[in-house]
Amino acid sequence: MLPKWSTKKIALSAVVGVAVVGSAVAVAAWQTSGSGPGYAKAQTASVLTLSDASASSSADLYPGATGSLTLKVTNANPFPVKVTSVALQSGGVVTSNKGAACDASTGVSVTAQTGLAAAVAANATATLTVANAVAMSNASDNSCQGATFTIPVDVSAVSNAS
Amino acid sequence: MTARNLTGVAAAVAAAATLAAPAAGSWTASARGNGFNRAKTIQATAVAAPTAVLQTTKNVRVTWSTAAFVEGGAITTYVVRRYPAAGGGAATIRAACAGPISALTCTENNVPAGSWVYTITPALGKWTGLESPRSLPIVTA
Repeated sequence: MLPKWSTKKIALSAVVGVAVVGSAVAVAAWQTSGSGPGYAKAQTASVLTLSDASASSSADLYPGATGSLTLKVTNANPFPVKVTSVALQSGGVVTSNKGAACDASTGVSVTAQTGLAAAVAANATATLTVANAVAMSNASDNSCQGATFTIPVDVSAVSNAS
Repeated sequence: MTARNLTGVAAAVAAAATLAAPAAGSWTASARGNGFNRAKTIQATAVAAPTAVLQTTKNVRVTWSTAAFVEGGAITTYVVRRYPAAGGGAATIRAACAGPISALTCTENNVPAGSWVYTITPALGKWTGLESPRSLPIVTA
């Protein structure tokens, strides 16, 4: 049998705890729960970051061909994620390392990909290859031969804990 | 609610709140950055000179070898050109060798009388490779 003051303290603790959980549910898209001795500590989940994957990209584009999009994704969260979709940024422009003539007419287009399940482990960086995400038309300038294309994209991911 | 029950609730709430990872699919995020791709390169050397063979007095069959990308893979379309053997600019190529040819041979019909040589150039859209050396001359009547 607990004394009255103790009962109130436990009740207050429960209310605070529920409030924290409720908050976590409300912002579940952006926060994870951290560990702590008897209290909840909200921890903001890290966003994914994309970095230079040009050295890992495959040379598979030419006029009339489809090719793969290479992404280097860093997941700084303590839980695994999977990339589920990728698309060209709204208003995004594909550029090359071959100069103005190629940039003016790369001929490169991006087909938005959904339903992907490209896993990235917790606290890890992974190089992902998304097949058939890009294509090159006959409009590609001759100077684009051998070009490395930089393609601005938006990527979506979800937690992938087992 | 009794103090014992409250203790249980508090423990359960604390346990739920200290999970290290969100359930699969419950956490979503977007990222913005760059993806990459590289383009192939047509081989830096010209294909061998094509072979031109007279089929009739006015029809010439031209045959050539495959060009490739440096990174691998055959190039599938070519441009055929015909020049006066004595020199000068390219003449208008006729059917069925006009335009990009998706084959390794074609037969040009109704070739004007004269002595001619042929060349082959790999071509994909605006991409082009080096023009081949000229074929041996062939005479049409």
